[in-house]
Amino acid sequence: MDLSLTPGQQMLRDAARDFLTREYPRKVIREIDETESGFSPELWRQMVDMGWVGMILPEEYGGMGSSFTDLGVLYEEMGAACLSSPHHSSVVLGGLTILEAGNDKQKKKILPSIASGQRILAFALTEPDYGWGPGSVKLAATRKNGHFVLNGTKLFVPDVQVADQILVVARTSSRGSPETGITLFLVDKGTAGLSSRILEGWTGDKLSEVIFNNVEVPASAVVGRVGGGWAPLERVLEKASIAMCAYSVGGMQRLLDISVEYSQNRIAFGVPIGTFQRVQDHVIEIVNDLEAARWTTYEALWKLDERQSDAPLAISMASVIASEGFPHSAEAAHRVHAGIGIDKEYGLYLYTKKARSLQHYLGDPVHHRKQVGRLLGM
Amino acid sequence: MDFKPEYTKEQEEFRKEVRAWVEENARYPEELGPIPLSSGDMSREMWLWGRDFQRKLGAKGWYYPTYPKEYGGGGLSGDKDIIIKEELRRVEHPVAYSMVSMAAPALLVYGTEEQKQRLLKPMLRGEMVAWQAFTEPGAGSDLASLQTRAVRDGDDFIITGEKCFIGGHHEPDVLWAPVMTDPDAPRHMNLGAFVIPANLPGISIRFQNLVIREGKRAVTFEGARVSREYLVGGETQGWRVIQSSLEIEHGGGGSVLPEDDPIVTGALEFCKKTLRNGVPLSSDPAIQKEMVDLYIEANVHRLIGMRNHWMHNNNVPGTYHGSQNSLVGKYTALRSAVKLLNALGPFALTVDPKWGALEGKVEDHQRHTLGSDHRGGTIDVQKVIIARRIGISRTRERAAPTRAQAG
Amino acid sequence: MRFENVYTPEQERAREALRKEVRELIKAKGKGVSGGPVDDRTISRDLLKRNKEFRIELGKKGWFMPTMPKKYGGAGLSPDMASVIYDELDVLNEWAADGFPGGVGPTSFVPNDHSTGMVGILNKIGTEEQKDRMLPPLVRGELVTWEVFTEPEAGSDLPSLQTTAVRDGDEYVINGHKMWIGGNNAPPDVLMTLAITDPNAPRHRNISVFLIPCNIPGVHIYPIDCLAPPYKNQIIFEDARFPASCAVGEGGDGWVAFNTRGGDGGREGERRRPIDELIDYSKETIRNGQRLSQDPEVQEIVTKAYVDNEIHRLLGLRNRWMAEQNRAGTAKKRTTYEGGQMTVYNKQLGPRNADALLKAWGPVALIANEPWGPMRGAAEMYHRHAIEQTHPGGTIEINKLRMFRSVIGPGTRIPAS
Repeated sequence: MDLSLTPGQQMLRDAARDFLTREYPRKVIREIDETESGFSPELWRQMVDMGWVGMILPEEYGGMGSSFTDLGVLYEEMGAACLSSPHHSSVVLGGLTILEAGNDKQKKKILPSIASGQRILAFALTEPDYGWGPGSVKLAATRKNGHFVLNGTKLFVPDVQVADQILVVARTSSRGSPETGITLFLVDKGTAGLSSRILEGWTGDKLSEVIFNNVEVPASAVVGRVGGGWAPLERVLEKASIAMCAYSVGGMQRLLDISVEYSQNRIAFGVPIGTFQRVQDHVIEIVNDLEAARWTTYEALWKLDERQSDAPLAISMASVIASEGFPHSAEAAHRVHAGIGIDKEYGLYLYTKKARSLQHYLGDPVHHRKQVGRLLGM
Repeated sequence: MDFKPEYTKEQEEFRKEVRAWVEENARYPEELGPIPLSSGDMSREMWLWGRDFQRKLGAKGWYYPTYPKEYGGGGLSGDKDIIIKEELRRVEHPVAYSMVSMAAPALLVYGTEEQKQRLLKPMLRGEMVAWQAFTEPGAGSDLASLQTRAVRDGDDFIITGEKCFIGGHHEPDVLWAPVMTDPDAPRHMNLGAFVIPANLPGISIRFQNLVIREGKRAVTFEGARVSREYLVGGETQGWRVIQSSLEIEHGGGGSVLPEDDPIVTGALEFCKKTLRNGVPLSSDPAIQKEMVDLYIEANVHRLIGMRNHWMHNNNVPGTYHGSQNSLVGKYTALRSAVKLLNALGPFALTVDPKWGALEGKVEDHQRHTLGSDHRGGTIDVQKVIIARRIGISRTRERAAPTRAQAG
Repeated sequence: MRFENVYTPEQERAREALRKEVRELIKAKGKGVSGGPVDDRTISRDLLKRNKEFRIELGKKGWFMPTMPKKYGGAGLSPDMASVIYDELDVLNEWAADGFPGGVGPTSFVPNDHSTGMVGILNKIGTEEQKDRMLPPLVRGELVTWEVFTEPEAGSDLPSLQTTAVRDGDEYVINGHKMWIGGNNAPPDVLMTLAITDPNAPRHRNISVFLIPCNIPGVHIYPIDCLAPPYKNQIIFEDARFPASCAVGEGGDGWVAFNTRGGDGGREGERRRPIDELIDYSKETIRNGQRLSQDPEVQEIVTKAYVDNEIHRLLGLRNRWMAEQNRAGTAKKRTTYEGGQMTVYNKQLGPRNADALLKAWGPVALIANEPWGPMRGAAEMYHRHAIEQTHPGGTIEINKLRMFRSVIGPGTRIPAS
């Protein structure tokens, strides 16, 4: 047993932490958040330069073949900074799906440009019939003269506004069990009949509605087997979930740090407010949420890297904890901060709204609890 | 990172050795009667068998596997400690072998060489049963306000006072107790820590009838005379000395809990097997949710304990970690009782052989977990300690030295 | 016990008559006086003007604060009669209909904390002359008042405030920095300000209350960019001079005045609440071929939230009943922790409701407009609003402290051993 990070992971963590602390304090994150696209090309270029973008992809496709624990270490730092980037959509969901399901030609053509950050993918699964299971995929893809025609609506899709292509989870058949008729398509965003708009609201990342109105795509746009999209996708969704758990861990760590700092420095009744046990209780709740999420997440990452058969159970367990713990910690941080917490300039709210969005991203706690129940044989 | 305790060939060999030994020595003789649900109901014969087993374990160095060999420990790694605990868990026996003495960490840090040989060694070898006698009727969470007095008389101390909620089963050999040596000194500088032989004249021990049925005792000292050589650390250094015990009691040493906690696994099986209105309990979404959360929380506690175990055995300095382990354990226990009751209904509340869930183990769990709130420091006290260690409290403190720092 | 009001035929007639009268006023003069965007920073000047005009129409009838005595500009009605007016005005309170408690919103017609707080303070410490002079324009809704209490270094610990008002002949000169001020009913006419008038007096006895006109030189108001309406401001007083006649009370009684605040919260139990929206939306929304409300998990969330909100409603009802008993002099039990309990419960309920909306509905609860955002996007606003509402008028922690003190009895200290 060795619960420490490897020297390489420590270097990655330190480099990421130094860079993000220096270049992307909350003020800058907020400025990016307030732009229309929520995207900073400068940040994306820097992420490419530091090797973060291709990291998880195999070396033969321009990546570094890093482990999932490595990815977790990076995501923890990204979460601490409350960073928004298309990394998760493009590389983790998009890139890994192509890697799992795509043919050689697709992998050779697409993966290197994802790794180099030149190509950005969005990932579209959820619809107005909201849900992360295969049964909620309704968007229809029908064959026509050797092509496919896509019709339907995708909802709450992150990063569409900066993507070149959208990886669309569609239904080519409604016979049999919900998984069987699912097919993956890689669709150029400029294809006729495809339109999107960003939804206004209190979302962590910009989320879009994407409408497919007789969008015609060639058969070569299919990733993997027609009707065989769900199995590879399920494996990718597990990896994507645990990466976001690590992101939440980082977010909670920062919530803890700023709450501790504020408790030490804010004076009321002549003493730092941290001396009041009612304030301490909130800080302790964050510590407990944080450590529960951290260790379940890292054990799941380890099980994933070790290809242990119960990795999916560990991932769903971590997802329940992280997706509930992050918003809960944000609320506790608000209770510590009171007034200053709602001042946008202070920037606590960035974490709050990110946490609330993430609670549902890739499946809410109910979804993951059901997975745990299923995997425990209930 | 690597969460698996055993991976080398050498360690697998060790596991085989332990397993063979356990098979031979840890089998509980059935003629001593069935093992009761609550440890407090254990018969004297059963307990004596346990003491004997403890000695055998100590002779191998496996009672305190990671403590230095020269003082009777095993000098083994944290991973081997885990292997021993896992193997011991495979057989059922009446003595909670983990009932290790909290005096040991303090003795290791503050004892003189002579005391280590005379007191620590027999403890680590399982030959000397030491009860931690800290709490008093008027000093629970606020331990520092304890009133038991030790008055100097030549080379001896005369001890008078009362301790409660202490100990385990039947009788101890020694009592590990902080007592007031200097009533005029300021708080925290007025205590001495003693290892008091339990058979001294003037010491009487009385059973406390508690809901948790753990066999807790109250001890009265009426002018018990104890020699100076049983004082650990300086005459007024006791508060500091017992912090090393508390650090371990609060979970700083970590814990190695199984992934398949018996109550959780048992209850899961119960829900899958028990049909109600023709369908298994586990098919009810509300019950499923309770059971899933029960499973998840037990695993969080397991991982926090594992983190501390790893830190403790690798000299990684901790701050709030010990008390967090305690706090999370307390919450987990208290909430698990509620969840089990929600999921299993009144079947959780009876030991009736026909209707009690898991042969009454759940009922015992319901009662036992009631003690979780205060056992080894209340939830609120653990929070106070965590806040101090995070650095947001009026007073700030660091973790007390334990085995790791004693080197 | 009886959990509803039963009226005599005579009372019924009076209520019906009042109801008819209010409806007529709304019909005649209430067009286009409310509504508008929920975001009060984007509200038009024009709407604010029409809103103020209607408020004054209400004031003329004594209906802005109907329970106040007639001589101060009220209608001298019982709280029960007043509720007839409030219920009718609800049609104008767009936000209230979407589940925002307490009649917030720039175009709300229920007197808000700011104006009722001022009236309470005047009643408590004002001299007869001050009450006669200052109350009527407030009670008639002619003046918008902001409470100007909090400072950057004095929030929960309000007595640590630093703003000073120094007497200079017939005037006072005020200097200081105030935070988290005002919001709805923008812009203000007068500022009810706490300032230190006697730096040598002991804590709690060195603060006085002033009703300061807004339009004097040296008063600077800057908006704070915060999460949700009602948006807050900073106020800087920079050698601002105002007449000594603006002082309320006798001086040094500001802390006493401040502590008279804290309503009974009895009204809120009556309004349309987010819980109703939670139930309706869950029943009406079909997802994956079934109603959301058929999902056992959603059912659990909704029923739990329903119970929480029922408790809130019943606590409100209790407080309202106790307030009426006090008013009538028939109270058998002294009111102690009840007001604080309602405040604590209310502040905790907001975030819990927001959490329930998000858990039951998913990300639609975070979308600000139609077609995807439920409650015309107000669910999204509710998330931000609930966080923001946990600290004005004292954090939950401070209110728990107040509640505990009133449980053990005012002025009691637990003796140190």
